[in-house]
Amino acid sequence: MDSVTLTIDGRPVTVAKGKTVLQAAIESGISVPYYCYHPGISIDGSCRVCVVKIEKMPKLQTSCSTLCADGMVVSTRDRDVVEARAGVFEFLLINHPLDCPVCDKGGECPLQDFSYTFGPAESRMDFPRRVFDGEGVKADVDFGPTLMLNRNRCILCTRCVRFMKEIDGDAQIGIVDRGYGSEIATFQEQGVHSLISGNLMDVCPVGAILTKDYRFKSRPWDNPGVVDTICTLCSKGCNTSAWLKAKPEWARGSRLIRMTPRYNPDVNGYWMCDIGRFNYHWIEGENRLRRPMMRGSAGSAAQAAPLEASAWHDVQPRLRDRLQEAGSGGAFHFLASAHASMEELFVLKQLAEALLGGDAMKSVSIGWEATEKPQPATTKFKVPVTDAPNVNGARDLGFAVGRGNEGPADLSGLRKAVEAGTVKALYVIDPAGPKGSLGDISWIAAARRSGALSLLVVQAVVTSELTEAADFVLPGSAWVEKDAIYTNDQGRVQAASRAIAPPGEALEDWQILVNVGRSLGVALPYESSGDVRRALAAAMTGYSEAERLAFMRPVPASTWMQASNPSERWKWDFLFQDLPPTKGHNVQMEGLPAQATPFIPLKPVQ
Amino acid sequence: MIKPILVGLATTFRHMFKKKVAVNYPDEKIPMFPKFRGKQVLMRDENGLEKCVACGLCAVACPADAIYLEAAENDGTVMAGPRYASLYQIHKTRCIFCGYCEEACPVSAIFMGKDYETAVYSKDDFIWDKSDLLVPGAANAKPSQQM
Ligand code: SF4
Ligand code: SF4
Ligand code: FES
Repeated sequence: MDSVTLTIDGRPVTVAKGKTVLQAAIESGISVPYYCYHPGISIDGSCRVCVVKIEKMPKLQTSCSTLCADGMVVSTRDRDVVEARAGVFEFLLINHPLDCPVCDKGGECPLQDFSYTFGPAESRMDFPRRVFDGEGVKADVDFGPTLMLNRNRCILCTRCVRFMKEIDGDAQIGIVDRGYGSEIATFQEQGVHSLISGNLMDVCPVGAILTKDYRFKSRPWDNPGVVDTICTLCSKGCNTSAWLKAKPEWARGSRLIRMTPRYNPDVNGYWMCDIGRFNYHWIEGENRLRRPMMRGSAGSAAQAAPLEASAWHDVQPRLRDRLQEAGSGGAFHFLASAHASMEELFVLKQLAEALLGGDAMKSVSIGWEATEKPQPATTKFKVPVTDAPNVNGARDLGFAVGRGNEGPADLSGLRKAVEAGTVKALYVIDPAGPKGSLGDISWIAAARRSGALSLLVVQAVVTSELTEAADFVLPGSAWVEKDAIYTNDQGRVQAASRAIAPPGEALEDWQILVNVGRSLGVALPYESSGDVRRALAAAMTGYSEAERLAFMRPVPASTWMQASNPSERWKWDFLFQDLPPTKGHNVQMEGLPAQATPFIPLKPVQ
Repeated sequence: MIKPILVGLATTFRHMFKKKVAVNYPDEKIPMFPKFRGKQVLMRDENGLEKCVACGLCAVACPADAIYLEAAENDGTVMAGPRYASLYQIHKTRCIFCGYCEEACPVSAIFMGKDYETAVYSKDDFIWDKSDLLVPGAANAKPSQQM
């Protein structure tokens, strides 16, 4: 690759051709502030805080829009630069309200950080600040179904405008009016309607665009723990961070406080969709299954008995008896969601093979849903149709998945068999949220109620029509509650780390399957999900690296204060290198598409 | 033998005619010094609305991790701004009465009060919440209309 060498602050810096001076400075750990520049969108050059002095150029230049050239001599600390920069910062703060204490960005705000570092300490402005929609309660206005907008805080960097135009593909945000009266707006104040609108909170370098979901929920320093994980709500498998709020031990309430995207150039870039960002409340919600449940205590005659919470050690033997009874009839079937991880499907496969022998693969159906997501045709961030993370993984394990990620699962065969009464006992595994992940399966509940099914075991995470009809309900765990791997639609194997513990007596799903298997006399020699991964890596081609995938536990936020915002985390990695480095994982897997470094590598501390 | 008794009695009688130091607590109380730091109070503004903006700076300043609060959306009836503390708790057995919360507050909403009577009958009462901390509002407190 062609490279150019220039001098920044007396230091020779070599970068690839086509990089800008700002990128070169960031890459070499030289602090230059920036607002309108964002690595994920085009260059604008409108905020002017990135000015530098370049020898032989008559005026100060905006480094974000100046390409590096051989022999350039750049200064970011020249007196002219320092003064001009401080001037720009003073201008930015003329109208910006100083309401950081009530602003959700306060504490992780590039405007705060850079103003403290490069701006003047005091404002000389005596006049009232410019106000758009009002002050106090009136300052925040509705900005579509997911967002709130505070125009007083906007610094007109146009990142949001460019994000909508370039990434979303539908330029819903624009700047209206001129000069001092410029403000960002949507057509007839309709707000932003987009499937990836949550990213606007991340791109906005101030607290002008905020999500309703995170509104007033926490302050950055209250979220000390954050876990690198992945989103499992569709087949894309966006890399995400799960944020945990810390509370004194006497305070109650949920800990999972938000999901933010984590940079991975090959999967999701800097972004994630709103489904993954906002659909996590059920994990610590009211409807979670916390204890195993079973009906009555008198054998199969107990169909009318109510479901009662019970203990694992009471449920286990009854479940064994009922399964043995059902198994002897030969009409036993598993239905697993493609939300189940590789580990779970792997254990399930072994269990089915041991119980059902040669018919095993025919006796396991894999289910998932597919929904076409309305998005502009030109979008750069396409949300896939498949609403499950592991269809490819199920295929790799040898399960029949039909057209795979191209459409919904076809469960009509199973439905016929159940309704005709050839399948008498069904074991359903669905570790997905409130609506489940198997599509419309009311026919299963109906079959159980009508007696066509004589045994229904449901291993799930939330109460549903299905759990209500079941004879046995086994509480499993959501994706942030277990270390697990999933194979996304590119065939990339990715690790999702356990951020919180499963609630109550709920167990990790592989563990439930192992326990069930053991009670039936099937030798499943696994004590941890790591054991399963090791066995899986040994047994499957293309997965030999699976056992080396790294998982992480919550890390302290001293390294993470800026991590909510992908562009800021990037900044954090390069500019603030006196802090301990952030952690990264993801390993190149043999036999899978080549994977570029999932994280921008950290620079050594100078 | 008799002399020590007489000395002792003389001391006793001398003190009987001096000004009393002990007060008849709890019917009588001694005033606290101006800088005494007792149980916190949450203040109201001139319109009788709450001042606290739920920024959480007191909680992060607190060296004893005694403060827990939750913020919520305000419609203008609880306080003037968009954000108020829907939950504000101080754990009194944790608080060391250092006053850092008062110092951290950017809107002067929390002050160290003069109340030192913190004994309770049940451990559940160790947590002061908003109803214990907030100064009582004027009976006719109206939402501010000036915006
Ligand atoms: S709302 Fe935020 S991202 Fe959009 S122009 Fe204003 S400051 Fe920039
Ligand atoms: S006085 Fe000190 S210990 Fe007590 S709540 Fe305030 S900051 Fe915390
Ligand atoms: S970052 Fe260069 S002008 Fe905004």
